[in-house]
Amino acid sequence: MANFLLCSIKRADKPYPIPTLGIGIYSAEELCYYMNHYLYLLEDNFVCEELLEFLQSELGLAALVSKIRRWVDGRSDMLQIIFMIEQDIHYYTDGELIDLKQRIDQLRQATKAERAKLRADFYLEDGRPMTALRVYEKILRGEYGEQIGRELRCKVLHNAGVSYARLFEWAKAMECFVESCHWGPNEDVLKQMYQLTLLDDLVEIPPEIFSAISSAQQFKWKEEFDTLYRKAQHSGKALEAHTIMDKDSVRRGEGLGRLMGEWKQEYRVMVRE
Amino acid sequence: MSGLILGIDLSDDYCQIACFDPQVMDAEQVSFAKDDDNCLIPTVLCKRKKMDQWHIGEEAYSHALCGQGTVVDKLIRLAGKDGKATIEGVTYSAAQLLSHYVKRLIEIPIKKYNNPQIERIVFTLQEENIEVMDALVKIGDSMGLPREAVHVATHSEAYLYYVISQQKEIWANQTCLFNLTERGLHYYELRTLRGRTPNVVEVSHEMLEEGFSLDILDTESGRKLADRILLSCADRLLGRKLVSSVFLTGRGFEDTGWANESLQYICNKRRVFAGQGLFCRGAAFLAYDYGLPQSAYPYIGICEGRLQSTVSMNVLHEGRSRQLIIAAAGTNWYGARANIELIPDKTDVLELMVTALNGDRRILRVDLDELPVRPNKMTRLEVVVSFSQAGSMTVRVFDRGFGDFYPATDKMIRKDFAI
Repeated sequence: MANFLLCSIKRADKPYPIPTLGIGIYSAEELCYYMNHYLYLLEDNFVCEELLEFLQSELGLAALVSKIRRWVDGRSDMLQIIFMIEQDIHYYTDGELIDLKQRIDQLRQATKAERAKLRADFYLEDGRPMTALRVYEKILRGEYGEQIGRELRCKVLHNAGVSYARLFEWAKAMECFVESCHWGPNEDVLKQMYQLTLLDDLVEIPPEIFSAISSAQQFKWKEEFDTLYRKAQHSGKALEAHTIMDKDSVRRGEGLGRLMGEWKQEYRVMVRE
Repeated sequence: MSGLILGIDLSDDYCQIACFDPQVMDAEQVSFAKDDDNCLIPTVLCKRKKMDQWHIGEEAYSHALCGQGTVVDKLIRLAGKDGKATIEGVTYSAAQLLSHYVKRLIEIPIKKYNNPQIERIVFTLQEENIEVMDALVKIGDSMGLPREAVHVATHSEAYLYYVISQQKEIWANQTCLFNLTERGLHYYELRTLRGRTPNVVEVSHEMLEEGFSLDILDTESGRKLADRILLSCADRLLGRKLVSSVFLTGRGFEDTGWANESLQYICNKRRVFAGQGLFCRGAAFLAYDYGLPQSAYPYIGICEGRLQSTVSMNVLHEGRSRQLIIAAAGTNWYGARANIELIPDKTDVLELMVTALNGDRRILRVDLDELPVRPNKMTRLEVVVSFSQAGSMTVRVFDRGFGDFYPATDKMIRKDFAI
C-alpha cells in the first residue's frame, strides 16, 4: 500500500489568489484541499476564466481545462466541475472522493438557507463564531428567500447559541438555546443550557424548561462538566500558561507576552465578521 | 550543424580524445596535430612567462625547454588531492589548472572539425575521485555547457561501452583487456549474464600485482622479463575461460615486439586487438548514448562507477500504486541524483526498496517524525537521493510546507545508507 502521493504536476510561479483567506494557491494539491475543505464557502462563480487560465498556464493542466470547457459548453454546474478537477488531480483517495461527492450532492439538493447554514457551520468549526453568527442571523431573518422549516430553525438557533457561547456571551447564548427548545426540545440542547449555568451562575434556565430536567440528569451532566473542566485546567491553553508561570522571571515575562499576543490574535479572528 | 560528441580519456601521463560521428555511428580518435598520427596528448600544462597564455602537451614541453614557461604535470592527481601549484608567485588551485588544460584540450577537436559547438562530453578516468569528477563538471559549467551534457565515467564503463558497440562476434563470449601504462598493469574482463531481462553485461577490474615500470622495456633482459610476466598473467587469467577477444592498450603496448611469447599464447583461438584510444572511444560511444531519449543498448551495464542495485519506492500516482524507480541498477552513480516531491498520507516513515541484480531486496527507512506536525496530506516533501560512490547513498528530506496554508520550514532530515 503506497503512503506517498507523487507530486507530478508543477507548482505555479504566480499563485491563484484566494482573497477570502488572504492566501495564494501554488499547486494542484492545494487547490484540491481548498475546494474540498472550503466547499461551502465557494461562490457560484468560483470556476471562472481566471481559474481555468491558472490551471492551464501555471499548472500545465491543458487536457483537464479542455475537458472542462467541453463539458461546460451548454451547461453550468460549478459543483460538478469541482468534482471533475478533484478526480483528475487524484489528491484525494477514492474513499475521500465518495465523501466529497456526498457533500456535493447534499449541497446540490439543499435550499439557499440550508447552504447558508452549512457555510455558517463551517465558519463556526473554523474558529470564526462572529462570522458564523451573522449568517445564522440572516437565515433567521429570512434573507435567503424562503420560509425556513421548524427543524432548520431549531438547528440554526442552537448553533447561534453555540456561537455566542464561544464569544463568552453566556446570556445571549442562553436566549438562543431557549428559543431553540421552543421550536424543538432536544436533550443535547438542555444539557448545554444546564452546563452554561455552571459556567456563569448569573445565567438561568427558564423554570418551565428547567423543570423538565431531572435531578439524575443534572447530576450526570454536572459530573461530565466537572471532568471536562478539570481536564481543561491541565491541557491546552491552561497548560501552556502554567508552564510559562513556572519559568524564571525573564522567561516568564517573555512567554506571557507571546501568549497574550497569540490569544489576542485568536480573539480578533473570532470576533471578525 | 549539431555539436561535437566527445569522449576524453584523462590520466596523469597523457590524454586521448575521440569524437563520435552519428553519420557512420563510430568514434574516431583525434590526433594532436594535423599531419601527425599521434593521438596521445601529454597531460602537461605550461604557462608562458609574464603572459596569461597556457599551452598543453608537446607545445608545453617546447615552451618550457626554451625557458619560456613553467610546466605543471600530474594534473589529475593534483585535482584529486584538491592541491595547489604556485607559478610566478601566483597560486593556482588544481581545479583551475585542470580547467586550463581541459579547455585547451577541447580546442583540438573544435579546430579539427571546425565546429565550436559541443553537444556532449564524457570524461573517463582510471579511478573514481569525487574531487576530480566535481572539477570536471564545473569545467563544463564554465564552458556554458548544460549540466546534463557533461558526464564522468570510469575506464570500466568506457571499456564496457566500447565492446558492446563492436560486432557481436567479438564479444560472443568473454572479452578481456590488458591496459599497460606507467600507472601499472590493469586487467578488465567483460561477460554477459544471460537469462535475465534485459541482459546484464558485467565488467570486473583488477590492478595486477605483477605490474612493472615501462622503463624495463628499454633493455633486452627487461623485455624478456616483461614478456614472461605478461604470459604468466594471461595464463592465470585467461586459462580456463572461453574468451572471444583480447584487447591490449596503453603506452606499454604501443610496440608489442617485446611480448612475443605472451602474444603467441593470447592469440591462440582468440582475436587480439592492440592499439590506443579504446577508453576515449568507449567514452565517445557512451556520450552518444547519453544523448538519446532511451539507451540504444538493451543491456544493463554493471561495473565500477555503476549502481549494483535499483532503488525504488512505492507511490500513488494518478490514483494508482506504482513502483517509482529512483535510481536504476547500471546507472552511473555520479549522475544518479534524484529529486522527487511527495505528500505523505498517514505515515511518518519513508521507505525505500533496494533490489540487487540477483533479486534480493531490502527496505531502508527514514523516520519523518522530526518534521512539523500538520494535518494529514498537508506537507509537501522534497526528497533528494544522491550517491557519493556506487555503494553509498544519501537521502535528504526537506519540508516544503503546503503553500500558504503551511509555509515551508528549514527542517531537513538526512540519512546515509550503504547499498
